Amino acid sequence: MAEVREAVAKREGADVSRRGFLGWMLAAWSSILIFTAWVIGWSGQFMRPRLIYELSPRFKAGFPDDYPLGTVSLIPGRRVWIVHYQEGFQAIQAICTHLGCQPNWIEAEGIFRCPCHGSTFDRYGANIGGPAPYPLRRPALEVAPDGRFAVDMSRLKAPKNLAEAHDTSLFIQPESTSKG
Amino acid sequence: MKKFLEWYFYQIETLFQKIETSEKSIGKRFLDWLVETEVWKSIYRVRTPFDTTAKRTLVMRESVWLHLLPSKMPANWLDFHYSFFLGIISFYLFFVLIVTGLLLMLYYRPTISLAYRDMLDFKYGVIPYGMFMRNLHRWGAHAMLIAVMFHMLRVFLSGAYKPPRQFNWVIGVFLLVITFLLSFTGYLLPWDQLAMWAITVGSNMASYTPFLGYQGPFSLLDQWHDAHFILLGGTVVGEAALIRFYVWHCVIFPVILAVLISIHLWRVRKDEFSYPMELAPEGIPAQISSQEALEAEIEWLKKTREKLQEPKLQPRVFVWPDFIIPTAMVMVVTTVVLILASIIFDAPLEEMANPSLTPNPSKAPWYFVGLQEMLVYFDPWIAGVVLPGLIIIGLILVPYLDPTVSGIGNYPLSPKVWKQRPLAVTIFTSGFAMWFILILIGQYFRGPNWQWYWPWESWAIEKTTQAKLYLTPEDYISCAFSKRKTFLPREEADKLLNIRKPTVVECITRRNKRLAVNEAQASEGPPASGVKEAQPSENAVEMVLLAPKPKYQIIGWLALFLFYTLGMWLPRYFFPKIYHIMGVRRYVIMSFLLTTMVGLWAKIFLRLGFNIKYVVRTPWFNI
Repeated sequence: MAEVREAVAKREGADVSRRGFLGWMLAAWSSILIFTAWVIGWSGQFMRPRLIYELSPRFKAGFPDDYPLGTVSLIPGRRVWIVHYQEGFQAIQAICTHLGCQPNWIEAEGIFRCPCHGSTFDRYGANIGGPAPYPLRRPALEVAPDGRFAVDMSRLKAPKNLAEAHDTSLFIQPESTSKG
Repeated sequence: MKKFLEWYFYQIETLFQKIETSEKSIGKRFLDWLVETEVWKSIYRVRTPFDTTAKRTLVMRESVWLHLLPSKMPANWLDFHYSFFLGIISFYLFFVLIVTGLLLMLYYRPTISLAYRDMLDFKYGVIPYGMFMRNLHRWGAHAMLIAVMFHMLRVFLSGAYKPPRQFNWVIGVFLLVITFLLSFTGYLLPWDQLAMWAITVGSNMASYTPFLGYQGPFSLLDQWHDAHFILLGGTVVGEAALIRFYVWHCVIFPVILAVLISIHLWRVRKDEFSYPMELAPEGIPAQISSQEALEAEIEWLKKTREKLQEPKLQPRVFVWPDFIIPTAMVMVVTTVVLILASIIFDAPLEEMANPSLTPNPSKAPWYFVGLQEMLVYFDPWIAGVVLPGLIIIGLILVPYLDPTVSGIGNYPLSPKVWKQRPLAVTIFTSGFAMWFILILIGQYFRGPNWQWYWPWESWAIEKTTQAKLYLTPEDYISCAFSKRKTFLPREEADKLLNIRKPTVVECITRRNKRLAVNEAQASEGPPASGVKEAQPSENAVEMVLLAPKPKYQIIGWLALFLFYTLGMWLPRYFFPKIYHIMGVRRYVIMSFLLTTMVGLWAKIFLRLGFNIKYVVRTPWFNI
């Protein structure tokens, strides 16, 4: 039997030892794995464009005087409210933390309520009812040198609980607005 | 069905006799000439009439379309109440959807500036029969979803997933999932308000995927790199999402579905159509767990095949024409129903999608409204990712969790189904019913702001609800041990909290009020507030803020642990035989899934009855 095997090996010019065979197998399989990983990698990259044609997350939103005390104003097309509290101004993102619908401001009750699953938020954006797990997020709100509000949706503050949502220390108070 | 067929064949026979005895008409002579031409013979190799065994077998084998079916099959398949032809109906509807979908693609342009305009073109008759075509596509899709769901139920009830057909059930589950995904991706294409917000809600679930979603627990990626972004090609449902969904809907999913359907049908043909067990030989092997058992199984299959050849035991019929004719009739009936529905009802089209205005209420497509209803009671990553995942895994595991072979080929509506497999049938049908109950609640009992509206109540009257005071399990325990049960006058507490359990609530109110006072003193007087005037709901909010006491959270964990321990142990206690039959691994998986299913109702009960939002809380997720 052994002679036959030797003869066959000689005739085919193949002289592959077990170790050599395993080495080849290892090389073959690892290159297949590397290739697969690379393909998965670039597929993931391919699905994620470097530039997205969406509205800029940074925009100007009028002068502080445009927002009287106690008002909750939705910026059209931007999904942001600018709220004027006694303690100052704050921007609240109009995207429910549950599943991304746009809550409505209900003046009579003083709450935001989401039409999709009934989450409610108080006027500070804290989640007080329904399935929303966190308070509404806050885009960065600043007063630009020209005196107008500058909202930056890419810098979001995400309060984790009611105490953080009710923290008024970050509200801004532009000088041009007379208090009270 | 059988009687009708007999009558039908009798009519055909008499008709042929009449034709043969009468003088040859021009039409008959033309046909005789036609079937003798070389062209005809080159196309159809088997010559009419198909009156011999050989010809009836050949006609099935020679056709590429028909060869997915065998040439003979068990006679029970001719009974409408065995299969209800649901698989055939699903397959046919898929064909209808391909045809109507391709026609719609001739006009539809998937960009946000044009998609809705094309919808209006269909609606206002710019394209003749455009709206009709759209209706056919829409109602056909809904009908297909219903057909595949009930097809699955039928297969379960008649035990057709049992050996040797287990893997075909798994392929069936994939088919079901892809049918749902096809319907979901198609839902965005009209680009109206309904579409956009349903997809916003649906796709946001992806952002709650653990690790891979930016809002999920243990999130690793940001808003511009996570699963949600890859799904939509952007951060919101916009231009990129529309073209992405279009390609998934029109190319990728249909191709996958077509391939899987071929495998599904091929395996049906190879494994035989299911038939009643009385016809099978004795001594069915109990389970395939070892090589011996596998050999026994093969032996049994062989014997079955042999036995099936005996005409007395197993009435078998020719697929052509005995099965082909009812199939064709079912397809005709489906077509008629679909056409009538499309004439009477128009597919809905709302205003053009507006990213800055969510319609109220905003409902998912009806087949996902059950999920949406679940989303009210759970954190999104549980209701949107974990529970659907468990449903799919549970369905896939069905044939592998059920080791018995009893009940194969039962007629789905016969009492034998339940008598032979009480536990399996109870679990599956209750899960199936649960899915539809949740859909019914979401679809017909939820109005603006997802409030509960009875079907006879008008949505015009807005229901205002005060912010609810959510409690925790430990609140109930700690109140049970406290002495004084009242703090506020009862009316005041009721007015303040507007919830049903006054004693416990008052108790908690007292505790929280005390904490609130302490807190206020610590921060030197109450905070000045102009906007935050005495709002009852806001007082309640203050209490929620102060309620959690971390060191007692163990109570919630204990409750959860106890629930799962009991849920997984009780079936074993009451049905020891089932534990014995299933073995440890199968039993543990089955009872875990079952307990989770019951847990869904338990959580709904806790939320509605006891105002408990979360049973256990962690910094990363809540349950």
